[in-house]
Amino acid sequence: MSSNFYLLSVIITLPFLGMLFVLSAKNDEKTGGRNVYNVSLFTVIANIVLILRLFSRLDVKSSALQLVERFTWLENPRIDIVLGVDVFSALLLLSIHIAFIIGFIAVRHNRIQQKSMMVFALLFLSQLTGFLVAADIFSFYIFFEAMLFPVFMLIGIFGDIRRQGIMYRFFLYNFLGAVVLFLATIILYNYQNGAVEISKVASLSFNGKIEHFMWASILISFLSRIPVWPFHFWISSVSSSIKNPLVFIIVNLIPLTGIYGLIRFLPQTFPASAAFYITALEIIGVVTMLFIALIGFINRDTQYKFFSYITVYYIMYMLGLLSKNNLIMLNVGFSFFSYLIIVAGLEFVSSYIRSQQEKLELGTEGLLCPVPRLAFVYSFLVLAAIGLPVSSLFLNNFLIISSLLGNNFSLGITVVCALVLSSGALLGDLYRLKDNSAFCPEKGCIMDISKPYFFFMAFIIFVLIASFIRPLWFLGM
Amino acid sequence: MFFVILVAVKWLKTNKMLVNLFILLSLLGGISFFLPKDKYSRFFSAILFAVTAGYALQLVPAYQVGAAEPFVFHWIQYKSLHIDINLSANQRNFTGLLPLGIVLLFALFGNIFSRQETRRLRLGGLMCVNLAFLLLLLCANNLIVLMMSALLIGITTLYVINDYEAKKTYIFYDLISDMALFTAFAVIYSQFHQVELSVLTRYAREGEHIPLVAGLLLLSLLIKNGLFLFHNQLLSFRDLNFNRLIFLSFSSLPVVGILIYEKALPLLSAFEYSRLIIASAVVLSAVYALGGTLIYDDIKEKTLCFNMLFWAFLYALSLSTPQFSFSACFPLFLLMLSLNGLIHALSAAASDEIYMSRMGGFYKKLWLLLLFFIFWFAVFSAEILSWKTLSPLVRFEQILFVFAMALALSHFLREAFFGVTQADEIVSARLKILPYVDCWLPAVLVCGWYAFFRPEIPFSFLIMFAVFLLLLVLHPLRRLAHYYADEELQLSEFFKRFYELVLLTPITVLGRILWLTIDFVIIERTIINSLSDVIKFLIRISQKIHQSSLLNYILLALCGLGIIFLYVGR
Repeated sequence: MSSNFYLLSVIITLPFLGMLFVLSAKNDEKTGGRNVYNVSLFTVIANIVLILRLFSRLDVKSSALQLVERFTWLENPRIDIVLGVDVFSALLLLSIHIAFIIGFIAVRHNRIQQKSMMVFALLFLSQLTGFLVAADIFSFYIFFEAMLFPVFMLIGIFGDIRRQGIMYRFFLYNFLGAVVLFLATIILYNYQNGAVEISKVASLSFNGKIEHFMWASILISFLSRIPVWPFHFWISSVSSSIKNPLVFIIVNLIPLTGIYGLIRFLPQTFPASAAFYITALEIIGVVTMLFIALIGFINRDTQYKFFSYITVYYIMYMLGLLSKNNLIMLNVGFSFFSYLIIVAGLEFVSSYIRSQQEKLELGTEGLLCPVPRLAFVYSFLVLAAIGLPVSSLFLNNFLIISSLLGNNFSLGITVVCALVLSSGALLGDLYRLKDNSAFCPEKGCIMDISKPYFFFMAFIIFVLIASFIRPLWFLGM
Repeated sequence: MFFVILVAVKWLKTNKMLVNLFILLSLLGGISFFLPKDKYSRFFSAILFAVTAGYALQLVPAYQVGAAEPFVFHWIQYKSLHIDINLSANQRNFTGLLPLGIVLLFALFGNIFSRQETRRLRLGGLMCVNLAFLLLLLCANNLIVLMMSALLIGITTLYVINDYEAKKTYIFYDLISDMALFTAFAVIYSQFHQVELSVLTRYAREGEHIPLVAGLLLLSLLIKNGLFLFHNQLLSFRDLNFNRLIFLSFSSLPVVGILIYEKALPLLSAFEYSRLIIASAVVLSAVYALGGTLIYDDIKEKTLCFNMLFWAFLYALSLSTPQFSFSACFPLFLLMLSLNGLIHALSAAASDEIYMSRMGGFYKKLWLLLLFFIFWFAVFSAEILSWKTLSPLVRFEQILFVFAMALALSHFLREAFFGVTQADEIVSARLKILPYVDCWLPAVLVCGWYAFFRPEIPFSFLIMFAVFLLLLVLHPLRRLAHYYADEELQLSEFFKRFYELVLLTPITVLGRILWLTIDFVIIERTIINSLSDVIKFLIRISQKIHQSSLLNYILLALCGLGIIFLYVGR
């Protein structure tokens, strides 16, 4: 493939094109939304093929941005759009797409607002992909903010009865983040008289107050996306109110954007003026982690337990990346790869159980007893989620936690405590579902997942195990 | 299946011995997973046993000549971390593997005939995979492989346990144990960025957090071995059938615990309180286990207590011997396995009766089994008492251990074989001299093997054997039988309730307080509601300003002028 083939642009555009196709589809009543669904699924699969192609063109040993594409957007004022990718962002791209496939499979039989869901999901995917390959502050800012629109719409459509309040919180927190990042972008633009590449932000010099203000703005904008106190509240509200698995997966990708922003803006040698904020961030992060893990441990709502698990891991990754260890970034990437797939898989299984349970009006105890296929998949995913050696979480979490312990011992120990609590919460929930003392076949049993679903999940399990054996198994490395 | 196995074995012959074994066991585990659950399960289980036994026989000559074949697989090659999997065939690894291989064969053999087993083939596969992971653990020469194999054995154990309550109890203990091990190794790695096992010795010299790391390791190991305070998970195996119970007792976490302990000894000995902690755990475990063997009505629980006594003895040995090695204790290990087999045979002979209170008077029909028990004790005590020891302390521990076993076993045999029978009429009528070959044959073979190769019989053995016979005749602890009816004691849920009170309740209360105060009171009711009120207030003002009245026009004009003047003034 020639170098002028704009692979990154195509990867961003393809979901957008898919969205346009879906948008132009007629009401699709005859096929029950099948056309819309198939187009969406095909779009994501096609993008996965392109991402794998992208991997084959990457030098995985290099940590620099590769396959850089430059476009001049405006001549005066001069704004260039720069796209680029490294192994870390490519891994995230791949796992996000796999998570989307899991989400799509989970909503296969959904008949409510299928078209709107697919349109906004594809729009979000396109924007998230753009965000992950953005290498300059303008495109980064645009994608960072634009992706909130489809999420806002999805929450509005698929949220439960409390959705008005939740959308209000969502708007409130994210608006704050948007405004401060906009100010930081303006400051950066003014200082440089043009667009700035993200990797160079940390090396720019500003006068004292401006520098403090800029870094504070950047950190607040990213924190508004990460579930650290008090910003966790909007995500926790959304997570426990959303029953649609695809929307749940999408909403829980929002914190990823905050973490990714921190990684891009705060590379290994962040400026001295940001040091204060980093310390504050570590303290807030670790306290939140323990707090959310505790609440997740006592809460009986499975969605909240997932939220608690997701939060603990996101914060662990954030703290790992702040530990100034150059080598940890790729480990975080490897761990993220499995983590995103596991979360999507758990939501897939959990939403299936929930829908069956609501249909038959059953309690949660003992639901998994008569369904061996579902029980196997759920158990495997929980075991993978708690970091046992069945996915890349195991080894890479070990290295991340070692790095945290090396950097700040008490912080590392607190992180481990939070991990134990969130793992205990997931296991507790699993064994509540498996409690055969509460299982009463006369009341009715849920149906097991169909063989095609099972084989699909078996494939996901294979992907996870392969990532444990070799993190870049799909490249034969 | 035949074809796959044959091709695999043929291919494997070209490679290294232990690697072959690892691949063969993994392959057998994998194949058995895909075979039909119930159809021809005995037949396939027999094939599983035959293939494993066949390969084990091939290894025997290599073991005898002390064959050495280095094999290292470079698994992970990160910038900062290189992990190798070492499966070199050498005398040390062979010696470690031998007893574990016998346990597997013992269990696979039992699995063919087991009458209580419903998932025979799946269990056989899991057993094979479990040994593959144990092999990794035995040969591990770095922290990651050691931890990985321990965790993988934890997973296979989880799947071997087929009882809900036992699984639930086990998984939480195992989580704590694994996280403790994980954290201890992470702390070590964070300081030296080295994963080779030699780093444990280095950490013992230069480590920054030795008390914490040693404490975490001890916590992990004591849980894995199910010693006192952490025995609930092992005692919960009472709800499994005998074959699974025996396999788990001798091929899963307790073995993992003792193997890791052996490798981590240099580090543990650097912590001043290690000895005290281990000694306390040993004494308390021994007392608890001895009490359990005497008081519990369920013979599976009694069996688990016999095993607990054995693990406690091994830890006690490790404190008294300068160079503790698990493989040196394998005769004892296999003899304990045989005792489990004989107890299983007793239960099987009594139509799978498991309660002591429903036995008694079995000697008329099961006299041969009784003789096997007595023969077992003779071999066992001769084996232990003939150990040449340097330390008088070890001698004392040996005698104490044999005496405890004599006390517990004599009580057990008296209750089961003598006195007035409490058994059901049907059970009594069905008693056969030696009903099920799978239960007693391996046990008797092991005992026979050791009896045959015992060169000398120490004098102390004769005394101890006489004591045992005396205890059997006198039955001094007969009064303890009335505890069989004590429901509270038999359920043994004290420690479950203790942990709920000490650990779970505070966490739950703290979590609820935090949830209510921080999430609801501070964020929802204070921050968000205040912001909401402020916005409502601003909207109200704005609405008022925009009402069509002269005063509002003037107010707006003044505001605009004010901003202009402010801007010009700058």
